[in-house]
Amino acid sequence: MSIKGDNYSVEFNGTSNLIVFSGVLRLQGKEHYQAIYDLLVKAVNEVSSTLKIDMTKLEFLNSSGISSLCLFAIYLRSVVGKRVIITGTTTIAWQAKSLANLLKFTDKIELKLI
Amino acid sequence: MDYSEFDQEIGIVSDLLETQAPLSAFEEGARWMKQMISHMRNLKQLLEQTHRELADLRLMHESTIEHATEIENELEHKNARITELTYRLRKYLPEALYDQVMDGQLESGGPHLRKRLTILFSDIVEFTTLTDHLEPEMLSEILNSYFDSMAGLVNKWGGVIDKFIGDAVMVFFGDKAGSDFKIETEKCVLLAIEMQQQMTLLRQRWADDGLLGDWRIRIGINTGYCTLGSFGSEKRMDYTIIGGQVNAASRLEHMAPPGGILISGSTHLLVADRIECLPRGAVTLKGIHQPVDTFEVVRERDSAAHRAFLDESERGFHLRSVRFDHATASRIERAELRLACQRALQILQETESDS
Repeated sequence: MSIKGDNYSVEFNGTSNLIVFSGVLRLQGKEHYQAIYDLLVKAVNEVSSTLKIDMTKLEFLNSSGISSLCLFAIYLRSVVGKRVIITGTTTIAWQAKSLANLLKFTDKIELKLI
Repeated sequence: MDYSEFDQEIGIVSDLLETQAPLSAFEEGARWMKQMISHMRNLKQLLEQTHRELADLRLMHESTIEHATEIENELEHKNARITELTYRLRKYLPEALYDQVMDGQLESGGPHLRKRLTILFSDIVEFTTLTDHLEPEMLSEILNSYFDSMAGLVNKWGGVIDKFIGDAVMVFFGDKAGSDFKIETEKCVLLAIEMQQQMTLLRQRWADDGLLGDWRIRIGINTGYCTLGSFGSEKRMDYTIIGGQVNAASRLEHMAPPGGILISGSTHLLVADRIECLPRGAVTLKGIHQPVDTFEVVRERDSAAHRAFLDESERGFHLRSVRFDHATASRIERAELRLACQRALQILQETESDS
């Protein structure tokens, strides 16, 4: 399951329970992020317990993108028995702060910065 | 918001209505009261939910603002980096070429212009023989100091270094929009004179460092119409010139005497009033139909050419040490040395007559 654009991709591997974000995500408005949000929701419902999200190759994410991730974090509160581990990188400046903010919405997210 | 007190009061009223046997006059009012309490409980739940959503919205808003701030900071950092890189680029590129890159005029496969240009070629005479016995480190040091010096002079005079080919340098003048072509051509020839002067200093320095050999350059200059633009592949482009007139400049360079500058008749026409030259006859060049008149540059008229060998100050002068060789000294060197000696004598005579 994957979503690809001109210079970004979001790919879900059901075997490894891993979603990989990469490239530059600058879709305009929340509605354009709906497909990505739906993929996240579907993925977290498919995995048995832990969904891993790799953000280390995501160079840029605009404000609409971070809002969609916040909505996903809010959604996670209602999902029973699942947790999400997000891996980010300190080499991309925005990730440390913005990904850490997702933890404020739910304790079902764990963040690893490498 | 704390609803506990409100909750408590609703509970008391509700209990009273449940436990007390109501009088008939109060029955209707009691039912109404129970409905109201039910509505109020629903309203309270709705209010609590709205408060939770509002808290989430606040958090989302703060997260988005913080994210936007991070992105802005990163953007500013990258802008600073781009400014720094463009500043460096400015140092490496001639002004005209830099402006064209920055204005996006140098598109790959973009239009090629036919333009009248003055082209200069120079190379080191007998380079292979001279460098045959040198260690690679020494050769690299010599070439770097040679190219550094020459590139510095080209930028000083506003030329475009087209390319370095082995030990050769290819430069052109006249591509700047609105520039005076005669002045551009004069600059090209004056650059050539200064390159020869610089080579004299380099040769001296290398000799002092124990590097033997007759290190000289020869220079050829031609003026004519060329095709100018970006040539190459999508991945690697060259801003360069091509055409028969470019080849003619290269051939003049091969014909120039060691330490000398050979220019074509078309270049001579533009610089004759400022540069003293000697006619060297007409030659046939491959690719050019008519024979080409050639001239050897002697010196800049009314110039302070003696400065190549003589530094003047208020206290006196410094005459540089010279190793003069009849066989190899070029016309330019002879002219500059003669002027330096004449000037030194003149200063000495003036000093004598003053005292």
